Amino acid sequence: MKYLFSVFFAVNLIFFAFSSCSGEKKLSKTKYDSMNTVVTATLYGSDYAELERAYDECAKKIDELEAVFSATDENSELSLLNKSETSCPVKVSDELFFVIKTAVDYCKGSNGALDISLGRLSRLWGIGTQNARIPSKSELDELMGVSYEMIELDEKNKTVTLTDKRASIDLGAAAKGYICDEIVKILEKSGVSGAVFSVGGNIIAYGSKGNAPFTIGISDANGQGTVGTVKASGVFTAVTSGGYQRYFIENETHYHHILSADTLYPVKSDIASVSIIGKNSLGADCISTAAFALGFERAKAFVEAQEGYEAIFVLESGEVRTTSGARLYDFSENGGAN
Amino acid sequence: MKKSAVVTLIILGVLIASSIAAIIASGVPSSQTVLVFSDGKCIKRLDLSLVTEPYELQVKSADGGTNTLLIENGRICVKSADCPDKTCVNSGWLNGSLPIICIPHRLEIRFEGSGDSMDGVSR
Repeated sequence: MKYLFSVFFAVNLIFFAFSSCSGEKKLSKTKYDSMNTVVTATLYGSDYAELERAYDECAKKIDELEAVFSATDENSELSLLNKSETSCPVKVSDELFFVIKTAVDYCKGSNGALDISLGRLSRLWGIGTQNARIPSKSELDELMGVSYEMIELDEKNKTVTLTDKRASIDLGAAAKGYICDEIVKILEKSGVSGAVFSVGGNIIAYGSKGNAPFTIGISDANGQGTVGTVKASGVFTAVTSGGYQRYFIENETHYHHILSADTLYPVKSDIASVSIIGKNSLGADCISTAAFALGFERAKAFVEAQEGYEAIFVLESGEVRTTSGARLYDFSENGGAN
Repeated sequence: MKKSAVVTLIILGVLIASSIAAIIASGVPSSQTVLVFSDGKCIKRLDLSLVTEPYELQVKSADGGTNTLLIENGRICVKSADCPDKTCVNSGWLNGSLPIICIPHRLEIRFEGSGDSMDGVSR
């Protein structure tokens, strides 16, 4: 009898432990922002008011950073820098300097596979806007030779100099990542026990959900389903670059938004989509664009050489490949279906 | 057996049964229920299993745009829209893991509780 009693008691305790997880407070939010990206957020913690406060602080930070990095806002700090007089050093904010400096380091590290100086080329193609078109040869010829080497940085005085009037900084491959990293800083100082943010498809996860890791899906080749999932606990980020994200089709040819400084055309890649996972989202953002442009074999070697990052590749052939450490995140493939 | 022990066992039994029921209820996604959000606010909750005849639903956005949803038994899609990119139309029928989103019109369609299997998708 006594034995039976303790068994019942133990079983009941386990059930209570489970049900207490679902007692955790949860806050879900969706935010549409001026950069035309959707931010979704789910926060967990014991105090609902604290979840709302932390979310509001994150939302405010996102708005502030967009005022710095936006390519479409003519008055963003980045736009003003791009409109500055050629070869004149421009004093910029610490955060803009940091993001440009980090991105330029990845431009160098990837031998130009990532190149953030192609803002004018991006605007010429207009991919992702209603004005998307194939530029004329003379328009492209004018931009031949533009590279990130035309961006000069002075760490001490926090100045940026564009040494050629054709160079225009585009932080499309970096700004969302930096925003994610700043969200983590806010969450770390808050009473939130776990959270997942999607900033236009970039995922940042923090903490856990009822002591269990989060499950994060990895996009398939066309961005509509997933090829599998990874487990996220602590600080985690996943950033995907793919030809499906922004593109237009003309004469049955698919033109996507990741452009080559060499050909001035969309890069030809055997990768349909590549997701970089790690802890730092700015790094993951830069690496994902570079990896897409490098093509699978070179990209795999490139990511293996970056400490703290792993990659999941979906190739044009449909095959799914990973770097050796992706198993640390319990990557489990589901065969491409949902 | 003592009377108090019997009472305790009954109480425990009820507690266990209710715990099991709660866990089962929270684990089963009500996957036929779809939520439609406009500008972040839920404007419609539809149980697709109750749909007998296909019908269309027009959703007007704050800036005057229109998305026309097609609702059939067990499935929903955006049939047409006057947004520039047509991503919502090209998304096809709503599937289990990813919502249909029209960014220009701030429209989102997803299954209720569909966040339970995945907490986010990198794309």
